[in-house]
Amino acid sequence: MAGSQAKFYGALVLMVIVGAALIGYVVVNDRRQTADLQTGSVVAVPEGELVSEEVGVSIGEADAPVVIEEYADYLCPYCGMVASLTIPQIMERYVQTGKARFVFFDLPVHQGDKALMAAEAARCAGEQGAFWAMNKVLMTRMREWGEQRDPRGSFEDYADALGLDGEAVRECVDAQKYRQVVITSQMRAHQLGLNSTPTFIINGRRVTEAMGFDQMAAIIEAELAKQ
Amino acid sequence: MNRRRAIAVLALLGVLDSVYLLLAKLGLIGGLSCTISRGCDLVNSSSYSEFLGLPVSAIGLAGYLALFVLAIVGIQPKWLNDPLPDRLISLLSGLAVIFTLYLTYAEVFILGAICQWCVVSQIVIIAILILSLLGSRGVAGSGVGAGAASDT
Repeated sequence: MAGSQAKFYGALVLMVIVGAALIGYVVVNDRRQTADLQTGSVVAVPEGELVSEEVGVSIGEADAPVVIEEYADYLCPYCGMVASLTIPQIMERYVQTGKARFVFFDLPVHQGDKALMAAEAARCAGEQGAFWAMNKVLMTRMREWGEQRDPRGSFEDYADALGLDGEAVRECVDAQKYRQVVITSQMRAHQLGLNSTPTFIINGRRVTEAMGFDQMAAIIEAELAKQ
Repeated sequence: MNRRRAIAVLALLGVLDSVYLLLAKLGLIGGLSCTISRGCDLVNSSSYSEFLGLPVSAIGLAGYLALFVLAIVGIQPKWLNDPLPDRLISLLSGLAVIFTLYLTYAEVFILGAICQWCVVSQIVIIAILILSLLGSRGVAGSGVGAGAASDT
């Protein structure tokens, strides 16, 4: 009896050791994968040093005289407003003409996973060359997918509607392939002291406001005049 | 005796499962390994993964630990023929099963996602409840019954 009891306790101890080892293995494995992701796609952030601009998604001539940085959240209504009313004209007037370069940074400020997943979905669509198209769809339809418990089905549908491989986007979001990049982008925003969306930094000049086209164009023109 | 041992083993399994879910919830490990089902992280990061401000995996961990202790107490010679441990285990695991049903409802009907690690916990807690109920009724020869666990 006492012997069988001792054996039983031994078995329990063994179970704890095996369980702890399995969990430990998962943790270590995960750390390694995260490290790969960091070195593989940007990041490697030395303590205190500003996260590189490369965590953003850039469009326009590399040496354009004006750089417009946008820090936005896919569930922020004003970001959606800017995306439909301001950005398209800015793109047409300044980015496509080589006068400005536009860089989008994720700054998810909404609680929960949805804003993060949307940010990932846009970057996943970027693998198929459609970051900007997906960014616009997500921004302008946030009311639709934002209401859903799990918006990933909608993300897949949007991707399909854009002529992309929606399933690939879905798998990429499920795999959280860009989560680390999105979080690093958020880290850059925090390093810059930003916590509201949308915030624009135009050649170093900060504006946290849902600017209309005229207002943003005036800042860009002023910067162009300095050149 | 054997039934209580089985409960102790199941409760320990529940403890390990809860620890894993809790570590993921606290962000100490990356995403959950989700090879069989879809949406583990969605479930574990949803609003249903917290109850009264506490991660449900932490509640589960506390519950499984309590069940484990009860089961171990139950296999001590002094308690072997006493149905009290089984009754306490039945009570605790019964509450946990109710909580589990609520969480399963959220998973299936609200989130539309299933987390295999939560399913493990669901199976474990139901098994513990059944074993402990058999014990509380005084069925089975040696000793009395078996014990139970809680849920994440």
